[in-house]
Amino acid sequence: MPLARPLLGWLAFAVVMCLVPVFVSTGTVRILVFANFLAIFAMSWDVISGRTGYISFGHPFLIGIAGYTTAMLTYHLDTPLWLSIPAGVFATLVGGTLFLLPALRIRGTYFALVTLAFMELMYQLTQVIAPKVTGGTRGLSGIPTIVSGAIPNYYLTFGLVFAIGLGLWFVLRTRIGAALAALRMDEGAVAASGLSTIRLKLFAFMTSAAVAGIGGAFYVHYLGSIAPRGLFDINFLFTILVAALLGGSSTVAGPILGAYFLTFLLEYLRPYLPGPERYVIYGMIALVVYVLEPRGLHAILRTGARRLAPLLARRRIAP
Amino acid sequence: MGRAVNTLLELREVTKRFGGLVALDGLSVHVDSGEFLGLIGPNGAGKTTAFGVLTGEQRPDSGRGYFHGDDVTRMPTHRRVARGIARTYQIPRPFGEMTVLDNVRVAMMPDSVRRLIAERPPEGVDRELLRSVGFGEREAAMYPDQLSMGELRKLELARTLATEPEVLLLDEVFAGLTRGEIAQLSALLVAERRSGMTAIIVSHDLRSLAPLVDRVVVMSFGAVIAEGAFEEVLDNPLVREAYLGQA
Repeated sequence: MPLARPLLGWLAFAVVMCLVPVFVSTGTVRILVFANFLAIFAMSWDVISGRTGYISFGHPFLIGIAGYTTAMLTYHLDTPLWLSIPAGVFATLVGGTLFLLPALRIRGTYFALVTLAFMELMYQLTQVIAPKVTGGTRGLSGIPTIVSGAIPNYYLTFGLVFAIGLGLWFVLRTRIGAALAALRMDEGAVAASGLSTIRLKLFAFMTSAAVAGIGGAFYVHYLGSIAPRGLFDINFLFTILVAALLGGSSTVAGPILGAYFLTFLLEYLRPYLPGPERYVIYGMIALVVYVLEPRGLHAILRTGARRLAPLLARRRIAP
Repeated sequence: MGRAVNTLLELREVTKRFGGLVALDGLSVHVDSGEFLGLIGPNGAGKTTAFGVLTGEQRPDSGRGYFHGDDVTRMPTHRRVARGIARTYQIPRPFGEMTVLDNVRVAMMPDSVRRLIAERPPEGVDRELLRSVGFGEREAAMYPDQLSMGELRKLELARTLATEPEVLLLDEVFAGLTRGEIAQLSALLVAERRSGMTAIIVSHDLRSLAPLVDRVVVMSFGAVIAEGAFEEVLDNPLVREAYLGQA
């Protein structure tokens, strides 16, 4: 695969996104910060679920481990961020191995349900076990932030999206990406091809957990607080899933695209539908896109560009 | 005896139950290095289960498996494949969303995450493999759902060859094929045999199997009921009974 074109795409993406704060209001920049976090979570989800077909319904569990670890370390022990954030990511990697255990025996719906149980378990644990440490139902607030203000936070989070996105793209475009895709299609045939399916799954799960951990830790230090109700929440989970699926799973650009689209969709619906009925509308829009093109927005744009390219070229020749 | 030295792959006294069904009932079977062995028997005799145990996809309840004289009973599938045992499936199992070329490339992959990321795939070997089973550039770019049964079986063969096997386990290689396709596939197998490959071939198509194999083993109800050269085995009254339900 030639490198130059996709790299130009990444570069254009970076340039456009860096210029965005110049042209839009601070309010929009704040929304974009959330979109950036959603993009990170959706990319993480896609590495497990989009690539290998192990549908995770427990991603908030992974995000929460990192979030709680760094929150508790900084809140109680005044641990510096440069130490607490890596500690949070490391803890998520350990959590990722827990995630892998059911995947050794089950897949499909059963795996999704077990991971959902992980999330529920974490929700209960944070409230019941040592509420003094976790903050119980109310969680912890007054957690240090890294930078303040919408624009610095925007550049920080976009930097993360870009670094993670480019990193994943570089890794997954190699043969490992094809191996993970093969795993999704027929695990038995992958083993019969001489590849350890456990090792491949471990790689996907650890990569996904690392990304979720980075996102989760930074998220907490952006919000300055953490609470179980908002984090281990089915709506939060489905927003991640829909972002990845809507944008186009098994790609890197797809989940990013889906995250921006979905965040703005929800925001623009807010004045008209302030309550949870917004989620019905977004569900319907996601459904329509999905029925039209199961490979998501990413594929729609790609096909559109392919059809448009010859038209534009013709116009250039005959002015 | 000289046999022990020569034996490449072997099952000894293997029993495998699925609930109340005894699929393999103390099965002992072996294939010698460079030998083409035919494994035949009526439906449900346990031939495919025997393949499953040989590749590690099925764990036997008792008995052992040996490869090059080493006990491989508990060795996982991917390691057996790496050591040289490769199989095809009765119902072909290609990676459906990949082209023929990419299917073969998966089978060529090294079993190491680091190498999968850092190393470039070897060039030319993939197409060479496809050519060896009669696929050109047109077929290489096709998806499995565009292939005929004969082509799917060739793809399966190309994938097993991509793992650089010492022994091929071919499950119902001729099923669903036209006469022409059978002739093509037979020619490929004859070529493999000449190059010193070892194989166990399961087939119901005895006429196509006969010229390919050195020896046949007949299974019924999970055990061997006869063994030897093709003609003498088919004359065996036990075999006739198993196949036709009469002596």
